[in-house]
Amino acid sequence: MIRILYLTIVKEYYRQNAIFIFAVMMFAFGFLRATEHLALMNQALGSLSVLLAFCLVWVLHGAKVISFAVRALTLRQNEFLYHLLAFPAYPRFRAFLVMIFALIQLTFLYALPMMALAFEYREWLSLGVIVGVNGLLVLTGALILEWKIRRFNSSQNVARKYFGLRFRTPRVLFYPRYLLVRQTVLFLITKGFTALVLMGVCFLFPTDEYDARLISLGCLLAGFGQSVILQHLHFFERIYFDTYRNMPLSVLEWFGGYVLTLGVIILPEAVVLARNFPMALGVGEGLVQFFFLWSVTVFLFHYQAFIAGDKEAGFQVLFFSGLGLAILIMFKIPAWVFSGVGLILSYLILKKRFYAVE
Amino acid sequence: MLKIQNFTKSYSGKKILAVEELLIPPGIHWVKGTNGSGKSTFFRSVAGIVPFEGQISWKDIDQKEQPVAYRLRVNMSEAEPLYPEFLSGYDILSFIARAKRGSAEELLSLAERLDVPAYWKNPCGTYSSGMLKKVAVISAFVGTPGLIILDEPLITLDRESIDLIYGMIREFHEKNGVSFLLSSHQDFVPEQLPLAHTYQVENQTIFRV
Repeated sequence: MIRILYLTIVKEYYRQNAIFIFAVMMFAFGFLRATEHLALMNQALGSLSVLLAFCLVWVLHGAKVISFAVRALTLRQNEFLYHLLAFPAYPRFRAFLVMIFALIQLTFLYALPMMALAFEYREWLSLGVIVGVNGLLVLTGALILEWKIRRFNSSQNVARKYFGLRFRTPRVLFYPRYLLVRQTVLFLITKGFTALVLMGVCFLFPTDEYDARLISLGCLLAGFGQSVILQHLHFFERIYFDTYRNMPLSVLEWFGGYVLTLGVIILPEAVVLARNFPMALGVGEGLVQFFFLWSVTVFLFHYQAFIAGDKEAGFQVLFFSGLGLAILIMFKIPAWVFSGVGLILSYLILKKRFYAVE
Repeated sequence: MLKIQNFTKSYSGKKILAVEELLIPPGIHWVKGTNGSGKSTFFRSVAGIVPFEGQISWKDIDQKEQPVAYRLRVNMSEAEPLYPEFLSGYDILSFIARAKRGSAEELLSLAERLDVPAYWKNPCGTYSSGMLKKVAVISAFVGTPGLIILDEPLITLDRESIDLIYGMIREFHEKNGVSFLLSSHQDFVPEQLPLAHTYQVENQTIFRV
């Protein structure tokens, strides 16, 4: 049973979130050295409020993995997992505990040295909180899965039936709706991250003699921060709308559709930029920067979906392209040049690869 | 006339299907084959959903040279349709009808034949497999197709709906000259459907029986 859960849920989670985990590792260990992490841990062990901030991050990550596991149970290809009901309750619950524990490894491995330090310093309250939060996450996840598996045939949501269905959903909103309904945690985490990045560069701007390049770097990072969402767009279309390729639409129409869909997805970033953009740079520059972010997102999607696919090498290319682009920004090449080139390249990729991808 | 030349379909380097030349004349045709023989892959290739080596054309419209014109003429309904549970059948059919240049009236009239408007504004997550199947079948009839591919059109449907679909196939063929490629593990009733030819998918190729 554990092996089946590992193959269908745990392995799938790590496969789908490889970029997210990579980004977190880069973010965590690229900016801070080991000694600084130790200092942070010591700070958390000495102050309950800092420790609770750590716990909040673990809980958010826990919510992400638990919601993934619950969703995975309801996927059509995993319907056979309802045979788990036929197993005795105790071994099944134990398998759920192991599975959730395997899913929270990203945060648990960070909590482990904190536990060791707390034990060494005899900070029993902190140790209790760390162990308690992690234990509670595993237990809560297993209980939710147990509850879900026991009511597998009662998924109809009557409220949803009468809410929001009076209007037709246009195609460009299919995926944004999927994000809101099925990938809420991913959407919130991504938007939280990109909002922090954009607000960070906007707040940093007046503190020194920076120019628009700082904002461009922020937009670049915010664009790359969408990569998991963009990867899901590709999965979404392959799973539900393989028949898209039987639709008699021109490449330009498909391209326009993708540009609009991605424009809707980055609306939160537009709001963050509009509220925080440094007035000294002017409205025109604000629009240029937003279109730069938009074009980065459009290009990333087309590259990931139609060239990289599942290939690891493709993502390495992407990572180093991002670094290269950051260097070019530092050489004062205007953002609108990147926007134009990015959109043209995206269109050409789509034209060449739309019907070729499998 | 559906023309298939030098067709090869492989997955991960393993050949699934190869057809040197196959001409399928207008008419209603039954494509038979065991599970995993490659029927659905063949249908998906003809519909332009999956990439392949070679050429496929419908009435001299080449799928690769004229992708939009070809897809205006060739429609397909999948064997086991899967739609996002939060979208309604109406959302999906409206998009397909617009893409296939069909009108809202035409879509409504098709949907009414299978009693789909009774539920099509509800989310797909609330549909039974038969209700989903009806949505998928209707999606293949919208627009002005010359060739309609129906992969297992009869599965999960009740007797009454099967008779209605037989009627739609007959009517589209007789009145509009639409050709059909059908697959089914159940035998078609000869009195209900005037089958022109039967094709067999076997040993990684397709031939007329």
